[in-house]
Amino acid sequence: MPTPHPQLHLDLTLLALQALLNLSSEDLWATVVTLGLERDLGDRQTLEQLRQGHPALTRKLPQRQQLLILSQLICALAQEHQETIRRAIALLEQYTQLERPAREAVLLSEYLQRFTQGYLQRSLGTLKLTLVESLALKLLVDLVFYSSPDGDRHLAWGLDLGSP
Amino acid sequence: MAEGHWSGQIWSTRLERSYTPPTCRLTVVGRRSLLSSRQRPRLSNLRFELVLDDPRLPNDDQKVVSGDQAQLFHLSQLVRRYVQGFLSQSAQHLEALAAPPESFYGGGVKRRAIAKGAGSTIAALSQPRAATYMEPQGLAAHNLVLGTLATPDSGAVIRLGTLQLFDVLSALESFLADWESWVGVHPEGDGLPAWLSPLVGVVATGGLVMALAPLAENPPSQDPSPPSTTLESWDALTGIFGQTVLGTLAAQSLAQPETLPTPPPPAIVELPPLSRSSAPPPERVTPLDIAPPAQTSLPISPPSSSETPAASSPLPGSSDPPDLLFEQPLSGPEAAPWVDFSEVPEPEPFAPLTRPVPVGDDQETVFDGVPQVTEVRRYFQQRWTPPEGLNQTLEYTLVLDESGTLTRVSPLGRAAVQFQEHSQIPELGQSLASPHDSPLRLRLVLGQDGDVKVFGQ
Repeated sequence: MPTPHPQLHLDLTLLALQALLNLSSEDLWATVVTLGLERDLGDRQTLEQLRQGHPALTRKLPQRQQLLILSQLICALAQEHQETIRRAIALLEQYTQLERPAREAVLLSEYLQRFTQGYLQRSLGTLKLTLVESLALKLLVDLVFYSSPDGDRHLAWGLDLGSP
Repeated sequence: MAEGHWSGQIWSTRLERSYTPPTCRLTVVGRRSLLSSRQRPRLSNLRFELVLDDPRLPNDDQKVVSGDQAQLFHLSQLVRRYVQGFLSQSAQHLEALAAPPESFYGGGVKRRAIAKGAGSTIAALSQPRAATYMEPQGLAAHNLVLGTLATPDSGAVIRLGTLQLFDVLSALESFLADWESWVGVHPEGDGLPAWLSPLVGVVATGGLVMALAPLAENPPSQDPSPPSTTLESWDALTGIFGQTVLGTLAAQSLAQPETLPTPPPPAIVELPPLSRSSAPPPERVTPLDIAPPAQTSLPISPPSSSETPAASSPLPGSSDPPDLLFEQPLSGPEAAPWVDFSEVPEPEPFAPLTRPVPVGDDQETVFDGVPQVTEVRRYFQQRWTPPEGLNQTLEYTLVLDESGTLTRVSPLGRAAVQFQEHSQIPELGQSLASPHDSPLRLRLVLGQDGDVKVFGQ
């Protein structure tokens, strides 16, 4: 059963990367340009619409292509910043073992803060911070799997679209 | 990330390859077939060793898992399925959390939030009849229950951190990618061969393209049909993508197999036998105990010249029959066989075949005359799985000396030569049955439907 909202999943995965790496939307757009995807998107505003799953955008870009653009962005960023992702997960493992909350680690605390902020801006259902933080940590752990050469396939697993 | 390193000697029949992500090392050792090339080594009698480096533990306490080819494939599939389950959990988190307004994320799709807490865990993943499985321990740890892979040194359970799980997956996937390139992808004129799909699932570079294909026709609220690995889906995609960059990307992954990028040829370096690989991480590889190839020459029935590629002259002292598998594009049902994970035999605890377990009641014992026949039949019944593409029986003559050691293997017919690597016949010099008062000559018949017959001759 695939995730009913792959777009939401990809958007929040991208948010996790932004929160961890402290990337602004300008930084994100620079990556889009580096990947040569600006020809498909046109401008930054389109990227924002795409992340929100704006219905009007589907006339311009087929949904599959929208998902592909987001996926490419995620895999490229994850691959480029694998070291930071590993460091964050190593901290999470360490603090879990010590039975201490993740937010006590500076890197993770900043990550959670930025992720939560971005999440709240999206007005998505729950406001229970513990749930939002547990989602944030899960998406953080997922990132390392998207950073490998097989990252695109792992991302398809995450969206529940591919099988090993 | 998990680059493979070759070591071995050019004229040695033993090859070793190591994959060394930061927290583990996978070493695969096999005997090189005669027709191996540097670009396409051909390994048989494969064994593996997975060393898990835990910086928190002293060297002596590092965990090691080892086994044979079937166990390696089994472990690979287990880890991949587990990771797949682990990653797909996020979707459930989202289901439980998010209630986007109608205009967001898929505009107007009715949500069917599942009544599942965000902290739900993945059900322990095991395969039928397999005692090896994985289970999550929160977000940051995972238990690998070794089952049949367990040894006194490894203990019954290995606890992996998430980074370690990722590294183990990377090492295994690097090996699988190499394996795929070793067996070769022969263009059949119509895209990827069917036998590739069980292992690859989706083509690595186009995995997501493939996986997303169903979404074109299905709104996200519907179940997309499973991704297909046919060229049609690619055609549909490239048609839609047109001249976009993504289109180019898709088209690249669509390239005919011969144009698919292949891993650079591994460098084979001269090293003393059983040397360690020259990889950067701490060297903790225990040399694998590989029996030296027996020095018997083997009479074989050579395939007809029209079917035989120009083979290099046999290596002196090698006992391998010229093994034609994968060296030439085969057509029709004889196309390169593949290990289908769903059919990988149930791995057993690997022990160098010293003494077989005494057989219990076997309905065929009455007709066998000598119990060794039953033992050999049991051995193959537990291991034989017909590879994909096999459409006839395979026959071999096996010769065992008085001690029950295998001293000769003669494949009968071309298919038997081709599929010998899949036959599960152990190396010469391995013990296959209990001692007997005279040498035994056996006829082994492996059926394409999985049945095994052994007759005394």
